[in-house]
Amino acid sequence: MPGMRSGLNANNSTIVHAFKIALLHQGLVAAVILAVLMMVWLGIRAFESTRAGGGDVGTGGPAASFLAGTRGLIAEAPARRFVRVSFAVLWIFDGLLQAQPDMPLGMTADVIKPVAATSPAWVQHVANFGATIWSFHPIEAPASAVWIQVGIGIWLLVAPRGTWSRLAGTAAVGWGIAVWVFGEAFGGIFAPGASWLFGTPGAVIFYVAAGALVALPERWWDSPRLGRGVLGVFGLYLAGMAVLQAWPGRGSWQGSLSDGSPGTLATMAFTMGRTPQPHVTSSWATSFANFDMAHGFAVDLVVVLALALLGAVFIAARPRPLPYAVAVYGVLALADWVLVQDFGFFGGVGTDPNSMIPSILFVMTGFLAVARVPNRSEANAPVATLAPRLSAHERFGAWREAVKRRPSVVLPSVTALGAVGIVLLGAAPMAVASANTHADPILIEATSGTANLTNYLPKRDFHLVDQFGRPVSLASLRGKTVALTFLDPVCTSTCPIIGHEFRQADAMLSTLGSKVELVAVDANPLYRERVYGMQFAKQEGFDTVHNMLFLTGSLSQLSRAWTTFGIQVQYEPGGAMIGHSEVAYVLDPQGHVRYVTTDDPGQGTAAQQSSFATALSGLVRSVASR
Amino acid sequence: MKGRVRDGRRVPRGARASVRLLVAAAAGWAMAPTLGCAGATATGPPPAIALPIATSVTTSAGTWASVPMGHLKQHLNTFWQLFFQRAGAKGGWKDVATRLAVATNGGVLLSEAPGAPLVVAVRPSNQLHFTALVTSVGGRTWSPRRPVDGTVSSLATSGDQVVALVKSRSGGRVVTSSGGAWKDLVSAMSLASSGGRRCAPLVLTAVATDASGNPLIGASCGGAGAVGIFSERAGRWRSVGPAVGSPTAHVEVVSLSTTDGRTNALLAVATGSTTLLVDGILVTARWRLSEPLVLGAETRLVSTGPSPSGGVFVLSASRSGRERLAVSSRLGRRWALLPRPPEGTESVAFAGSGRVDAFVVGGTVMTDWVLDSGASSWTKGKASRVRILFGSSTI
Repeated sequence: MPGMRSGLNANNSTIVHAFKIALLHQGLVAAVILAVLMMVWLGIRAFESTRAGGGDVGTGGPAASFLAGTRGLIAEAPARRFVRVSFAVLWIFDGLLQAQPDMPLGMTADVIKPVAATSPAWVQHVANFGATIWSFHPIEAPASAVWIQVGIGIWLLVAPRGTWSRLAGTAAVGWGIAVWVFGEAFGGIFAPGASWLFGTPGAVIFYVAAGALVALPERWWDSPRLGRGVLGVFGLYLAGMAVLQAWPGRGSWQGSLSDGSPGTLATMAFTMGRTPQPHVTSSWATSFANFDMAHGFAVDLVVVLALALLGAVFIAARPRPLPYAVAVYGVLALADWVLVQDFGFFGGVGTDPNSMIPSILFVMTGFLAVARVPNRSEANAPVATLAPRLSAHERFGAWREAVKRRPSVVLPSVTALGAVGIVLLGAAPMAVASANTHADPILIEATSGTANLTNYLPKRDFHLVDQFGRPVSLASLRGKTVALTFLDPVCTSTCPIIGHEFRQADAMLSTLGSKVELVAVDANPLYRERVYGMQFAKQEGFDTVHNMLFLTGSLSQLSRAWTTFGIQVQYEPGGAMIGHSEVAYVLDPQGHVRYVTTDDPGQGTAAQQSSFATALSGLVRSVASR
Repeated sequence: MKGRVRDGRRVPRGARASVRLLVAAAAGWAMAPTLGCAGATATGPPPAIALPIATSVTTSAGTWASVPMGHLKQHLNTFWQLFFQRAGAKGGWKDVATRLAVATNGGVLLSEAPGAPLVVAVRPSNQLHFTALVTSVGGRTWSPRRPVDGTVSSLATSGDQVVALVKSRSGGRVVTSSGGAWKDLVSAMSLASSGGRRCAPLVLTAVATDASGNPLIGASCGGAGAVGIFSERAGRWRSVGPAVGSPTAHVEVVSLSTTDGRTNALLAVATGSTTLLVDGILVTARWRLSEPLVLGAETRLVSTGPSPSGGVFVLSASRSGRERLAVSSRLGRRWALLPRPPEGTESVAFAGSGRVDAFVVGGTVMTDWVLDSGASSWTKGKASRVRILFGSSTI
């Protein structure tokens, strides 16, 4: 999948340093937001304490209802509080995981690509969209993910009731779906080998479901029907997973294959055990893998029966067996979390604790929603049931009245707004990154270093012909900004990519392109005929761009050009292509060399190509606009 | 009408069933990989055999052989070498691949014609999409010829004229040049619609020039029993292939070559799990077919080319790596099996005076094994290490 691998080591110092700086800057902004909130909070509290009788709630009317709701006199349903707080903690934990230094470059290569690789082409296509954004913007995207997730977690924590709370749930749903689709390739549900043991349908889908529960009208929690629905859906999921686990021919029943190699489950456990982590946890995974190799059929039988039985109990939602089923599921899921999923967050690119912990929290939510339905007597009935039905205008009036009586009524909203601010701190740059189809130049800086600023006039001119047979020299190029490089027309690897990068850079220059010539000089001592330049130009699409030239000439003419710009060209042995320096020059309209940069395309990924084009167009623009 | 009421509208039961079926079908399609179901594969005439490109040719200046070396299971770390031995020279083989000045991962095709320089086509690989052509006079001078847009899969020369078969999704096209721009000669589609109806759909597999210098085109025929060999007369392409005995077998033209005025067509006839190789020799407008050479199941054709006796040689390898070298006779009746070449032989060359060289490849080392005229076993000759720049073709 193009654009999915950056071609750089995950711990590249340039990228990691820039990532840390970005996090620090955004962290400072977050700190300012929190400081302002604190000041507002303290200010309002101080103001209230100086007012005599200002804290009187009163005994009736809409304003009293508002105050009652905000002061916690009406209890939040226990199940709702549980799902809100527990998943808020998970979101914050995941956000902190996103701040790991390997995330900028490791996410696409080690997380998205492996999951998407085994999925159908259309899933890979969809996942590639997200992976491209991430790999093209390796600083903005991961830093944004940190603040979005931390922000959602804080938002869920600080907004326990009302519209702000439901909006927090909605935000969790939105971001969760984006992560599930683009980051988890639909949780691998379309990939072969999908299994409850391996985390199907992905951890994030539980975050989405939890967010949806928080986003529901609060009155829905007043009936056990919601809990039964949650358990029913979860039961159906377990039953489906049981069928999948029992499906013949998928390798689930074999601990080891006929050649003695480990089966699918043991392979997964071995693989997870090799992830960098404390020795003790690694040894647990490895021990289980060995156990599964010896008793694969029995392990699968236990899993299939347990999933089927638990699925049936949750679907039926009978009160008596439910607590036991929840407990059994918890034990089973924890065992899988430790022995197979290996905690999920080790290795430097773990984005969450995998599916088992969220699934336990989800099933516990369902259980609490059935077992601990709030008792809505008249004394603690929700606001909506106590207050008369009001128009929007009347509600606003009631709110104003409530604020007058007790200014601290706005504090939950202010706090929630602060959390929204932290989400926006990530969401805004993420939106900008998503809209920008050009990769960040830092990728090529990380590969090849930054361009050297210089100012000299080449000592000698060259006299060559372009692909159309027209004579071209340095003197004839005066008056235009020139991006110059040296390419082998029959090169099979880097030169076509450099040519492509030049064409991308030209497209980025837009109207400035009329003041710029992009020039490639033949760097092959054998294939000097103009037809090879024309063929290369055709291959790279130069022939459709008015200001891109491929120059060639006799061997002596070319040698002069190579010498002028210090280009080494040599035959290589054993059927290898010609070796030559990979350097690009930017010349100003007076013919002075202003920038020298290597144009080695690294591993030539789409991200690196775009990154080089962005960097080159930036250099050309800076020279052309002087 | 029975049915569930939704939003005040009654949904017909049939419609609900249709929706469920559609959803189930969509879910089944989407989940197929999850359940490990294999998708249906396209059907069509299977290729009789994978065409080899390793070959050797003998010119008046000497003998040339193209040999793959390096990590042969990795395309971009397989580098084709061009070995040359001057006529009458006592020394070993000289690797001249460096002079090609282009990465050879895509393979090297050779073509010679009496009195004309050797033509080498270096097939593209990786990011390159056209074929570079070079001519060499006696290995001393090297000059580029016009490149061919696309991947050349067969090459023939006659005097100044070069004929190239270019791969394409529609079955291939044949182009020709006498030094100037390449001109389209014919495509698989136009051949199928004119002279090759019995053969259609066809995929072009080989080109040659006949004794008069006119292009001959070989093909793999979709129609059973048809042998796709075509030549042009009076502006029309006609099928001129021989008839093979089996009307149900698929026939593929593996190679075409003309030596000393005789044209050889190496035919692969697919019969169940085995393939029969037949050498057809065109003599005075009539084909003379050899007896079949049986290739077992999973046998790979490693190398083929013209032999000095006026026939062709065929080097094949079984799955276990055991190799076999067969040569068809000038009269085209029988195949002569030479002593089994050493394991790892990637190409052979018939250097004249009855001597045969086997190029045994082990990574970067090529060992020349020699079978002298009349000898019953191969003798280990000189081993030479080729400096291969692994990774130089990868990005």
